[in-house]
Amino acid sequence: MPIDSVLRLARGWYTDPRVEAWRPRTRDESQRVLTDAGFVGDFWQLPEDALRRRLGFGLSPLL
Amino acid sequence: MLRTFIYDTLIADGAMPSSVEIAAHFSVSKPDALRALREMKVGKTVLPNPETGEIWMAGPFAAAATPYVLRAAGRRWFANCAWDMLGVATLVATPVDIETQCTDCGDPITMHFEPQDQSLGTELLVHFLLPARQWYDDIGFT
Repeated sequence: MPIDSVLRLARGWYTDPRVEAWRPRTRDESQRVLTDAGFVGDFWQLPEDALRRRLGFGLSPLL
Repeated sequence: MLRTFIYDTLIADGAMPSSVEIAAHFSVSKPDALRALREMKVGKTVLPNPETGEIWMAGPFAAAATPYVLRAAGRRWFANCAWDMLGVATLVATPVDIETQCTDCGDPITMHFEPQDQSLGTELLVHFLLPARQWYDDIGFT
């Protein structure tokens, strides 16, 4: 991918984790970030939430 | 909050805080600090090293030296990959000099990035090895 497209993706993906209201995104929110940056198509389809939950996404109240 | 302390320290000092520093900041024991880091294991956000328990990565920052280096005003950060390198450039919100290398030919690459820049002024390409559905299978490899 062109590096400027990846810059757009990085800007959307990495919101400031120092902000108190920060929280992990849901799968659909992350997919939207990809889409908004122009990363569309089968290659850019994130795994379903069941897999993400198994891997520990969105479970910790500390984050 | 632990997450805020980690990123505040990283961005201000250019260094990943150790469990000793975390323990001192929150007035807890080192084992308690290590346990708190383990409990933060949520996706790619903050991952402890499976052997030492110290922070391995705090996305998009890497604790160890990598080929993706950013420098600003005496500070230095490492990123986990090209995508994260641009994430670091975004999060530190200050002009940075970026040093990396082409993963194809090995040629050194340097760039300067200002927080307001919409382009890096180069036609470089970033190669994503894995489809998104496999990103979380082995986050270290990804």
